[in-house]
Amino acid sequence: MKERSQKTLVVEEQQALTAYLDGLLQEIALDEVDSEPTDVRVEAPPRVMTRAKLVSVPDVPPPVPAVQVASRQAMPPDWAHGAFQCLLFRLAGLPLSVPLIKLNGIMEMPEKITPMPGHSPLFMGLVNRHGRKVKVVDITQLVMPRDRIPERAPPRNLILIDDARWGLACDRVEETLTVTADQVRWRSAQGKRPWLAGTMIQHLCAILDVDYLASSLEDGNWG
Amino acid sequence: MAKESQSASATHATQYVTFRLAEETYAINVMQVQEVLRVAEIAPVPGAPHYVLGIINLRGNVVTVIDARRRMGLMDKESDDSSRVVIIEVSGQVIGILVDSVAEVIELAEKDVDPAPNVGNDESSKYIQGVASREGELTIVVDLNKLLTDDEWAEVANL
Repeated sequence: MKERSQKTLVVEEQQALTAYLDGLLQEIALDEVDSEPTDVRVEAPPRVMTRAKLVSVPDVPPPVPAVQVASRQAMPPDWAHGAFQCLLFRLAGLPLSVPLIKLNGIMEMPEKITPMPGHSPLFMGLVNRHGRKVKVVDITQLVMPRDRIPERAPPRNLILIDDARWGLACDRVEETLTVTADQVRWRSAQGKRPWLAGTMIQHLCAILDVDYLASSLEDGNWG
Repeated sequence: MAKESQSASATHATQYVTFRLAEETYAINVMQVQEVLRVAEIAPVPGAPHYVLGIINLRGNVVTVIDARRRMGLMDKESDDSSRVVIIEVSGQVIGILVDSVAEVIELAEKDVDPAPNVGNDESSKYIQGVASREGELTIVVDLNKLLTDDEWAEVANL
């Protein structure tokens, strides 16, 4: 009985995540509709055939308000011409990735993080790395609606970006993928999720806009 | 000449008293510390702000004691043998701050103190002057002048 309820819980979480990813795909498609000339026909995004798709899918969650910080890079970005590699990782179960060219390193989650009183709860604190201070953030609440964040184990890895100024706490690091620009559905300039560069449909995975994310974190208008 | 003076300022060391709060090390300018006391009886003051523990009688003078944990939004902790009240002077006003323990006196050069990260912090965290790395650990440097806002200083003075 207990096993069954656990299975139900896992399926529900998978459904929620799949629905969320599906929402991202649809949102990018809608952005494209908004940004393209009216004569251009835009195909609906491919539907992901998973078990979770067979049940009713909740509405697309409201997007996180975009903060007015850095100007957004045109998509696809310069680094995405031809084949490029991405590191896949999990954040609260959500598969995300960062382009390797924007990755400065991966760390095991350190035992010691120095918290800063009076700061956003998303800011976990500082970590001393080779004499430099890495600002550790949990961006889950930036990329997922709060009511979709499942209970989870403590983060195991830190993904270092922006010259290792920032460490993104994540559940775990997975694999490296080689993809080509045409395998990615890039978000438009008007996208409502500033952290999103695009979505890899084949891998059901979102790619972070690392530059924008880092600059918006630096700006401090978050959380 | 100006460059030399700037460089001298960056390497000029200031002494700080360090104390512990919730397993972290904080540092305050030694010049603002008058003395360190064991925790004795603190008389509560009705209607005082939540971070004010009360008042003590320090050799005939009434001194307001604030709880550093509460001021910094940290979990409350019962005082124990290690707890200390650090008597400080800020802009002519003398107050005590209750800390978990007092550690040591250290020297930090200006160049060793990085500015506090600006990451979603609120007004009440402006007292964090910066962070210094020492022996693989991070020390949070507190600007006592900004520990309370002007209004809060006035409120504490009128208790």
